[in-house]
Amino acid sequence: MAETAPERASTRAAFADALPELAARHNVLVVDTDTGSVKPAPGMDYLNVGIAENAAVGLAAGAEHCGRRALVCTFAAFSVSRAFEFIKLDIAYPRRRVCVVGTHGGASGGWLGPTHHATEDLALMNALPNMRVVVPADARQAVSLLGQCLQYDGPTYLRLGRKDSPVFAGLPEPELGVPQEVRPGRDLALVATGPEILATALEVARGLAAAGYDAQVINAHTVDPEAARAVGRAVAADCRWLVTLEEAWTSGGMGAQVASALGARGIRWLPVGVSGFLPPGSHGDLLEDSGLTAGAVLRRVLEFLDRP
Amino acid sequence: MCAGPEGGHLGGSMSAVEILVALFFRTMDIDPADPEWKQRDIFVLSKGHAAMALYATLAERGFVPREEVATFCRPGSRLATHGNVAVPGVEFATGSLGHGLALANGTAWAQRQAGGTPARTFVLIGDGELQEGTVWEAAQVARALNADNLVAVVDVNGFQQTGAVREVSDGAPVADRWAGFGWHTVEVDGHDLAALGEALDGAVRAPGPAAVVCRTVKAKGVGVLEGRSASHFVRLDTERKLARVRGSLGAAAAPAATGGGRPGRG
Ligand SMILES: Cc1ncc(C[n+]2csc(CCOP(=O)(O)OP(=O)(O)O)c2C)c(N)n1
Ligand SMILES: [Mg+2]
Repeated sequence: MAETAPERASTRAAFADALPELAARHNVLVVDTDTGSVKPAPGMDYLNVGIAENAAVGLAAGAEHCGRRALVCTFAAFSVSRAFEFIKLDIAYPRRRVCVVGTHGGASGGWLGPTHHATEDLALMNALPNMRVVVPADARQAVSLLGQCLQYDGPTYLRLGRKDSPVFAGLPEPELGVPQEVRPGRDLALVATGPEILATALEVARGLAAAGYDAQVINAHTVDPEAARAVGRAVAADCRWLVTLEEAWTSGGMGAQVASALGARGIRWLPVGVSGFLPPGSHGDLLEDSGLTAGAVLRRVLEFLDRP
Repeated sequence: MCAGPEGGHLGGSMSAVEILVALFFRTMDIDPADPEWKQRDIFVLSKGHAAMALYATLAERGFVPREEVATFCRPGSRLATHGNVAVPGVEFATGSLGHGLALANGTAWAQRQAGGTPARTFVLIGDGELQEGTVWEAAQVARALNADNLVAVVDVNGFQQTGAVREVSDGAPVADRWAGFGWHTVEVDGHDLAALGEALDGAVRAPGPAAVVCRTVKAKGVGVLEGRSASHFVRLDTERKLARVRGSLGAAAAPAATGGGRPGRG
């Protein structure tokens, strides 16, 4: 069973620290767009193309066409949303071995405001056939999943945060596409994506236990439709309720995929996520205002369980 | 403003101070008492990360209470890192670079449709930002629409986020690029208020869209950071850092307030 550890760490920083060695090992071209999230390093092929996200995606695809694996790094709001058409056509359609990295995922852009918030990225990436959509639960998982994305035989999207976020003790090594049961339970399933959200889910499960409900908690670190089917299979057979939690718009995010995978089981579903555009504000305040803190989620879940 | 936990984009804010002062205190026909006045000139901060400088200008010009400036990125504040449309005088949610000129094409077109002597749209663009292809799509659209009430002001401070523009992806000579797109183009010292005023007047009178290409210094006025890449984003979260920056502030002349009246459209 996993628990939130006392320390915190940034998935973005862990990615930046691990990238040079992993990129060199797997012969990956790293394309940056003036973000500063990635630093050039000896032994790593690194191109900073400037503030030109569409050109970065095209360049990565062109290099891959000639046999080079590639990674494109920018803010989630710019990699996914601005360059979406080219991710679709240049990367997803021909199943290229390109990893698109989006930092500042979800509401982690905080005070940077709506231009830098990315609550649409999971829905957009999930809409693309062939795309594996990956959201590490903590900094250690970020490094492990980055390594797996760089060896994956097709396109991947890796969503990272910005500042320090929760770290988990007892979380096993993740395997791309394979959900992790981090707390067994049989009454209802809490499926969570991302660091803050997994921490919330674990706390909600403890609150539910106090109220007499045995909640299973699943870490969905991969959220695309194929991974969601695996989540569906991992949900305990007796569970009568499904609660999905994510730092994203619920239309087309992780929850929508899992719910559609589970639809045939007639399970009742409560999607918890971000609704509407977020104002600028600290990441913590935005999560609180979105009702994504443990207290608020627990209240909603208890109401949901009470409903006839 | 940069002393809070969120820090701020100091370099690109300071390089644009005189440009903003020239626009908001001299060139633009605006009314702080009626920020949405239909006939107003419109300002689009395409380099939206310089909102700090815009907020300070709006406060000096009477759009925003002066005391509010100190709330920048503090809990409950309207003053966010990038231009927040909840603030009077901030027209669009910019900050995703490369897009302000496209918006400006729209406002300028609508201003021309309104009849009478059209109001004008001014858009401020960074030199790193010129790497976004969308800038040039919009530049071509402006020419095709013969947008003669549209002025692009380019802040050529030589640096972007990760280093010198020249080293990351050189776009010089900047003025030639605008001229090549068929824009009336003039180059000016972006810290010389009088020269800026004249250049803006000329740009407004010129037929078709006009670009005022400003030579500037990143972090102008902050001695220890002037012309340094590290000034792009700074967090002055210790007394020592704050004191070091404060101690190096140049004796830049404060803008003379012109009051709340509507200066004539020149
Ligand atoms: C589309 C987009 N890509 C990347 C960024 C991140 N970013 C913010 S400021 C900046 C550098 C801007 O350089 P420049 O236009 O020269 O601005 P200035 O020097 O005036 O600050 C970058 C890359 C962004 N805001 N938008
Ligand atoms: Mg610049």
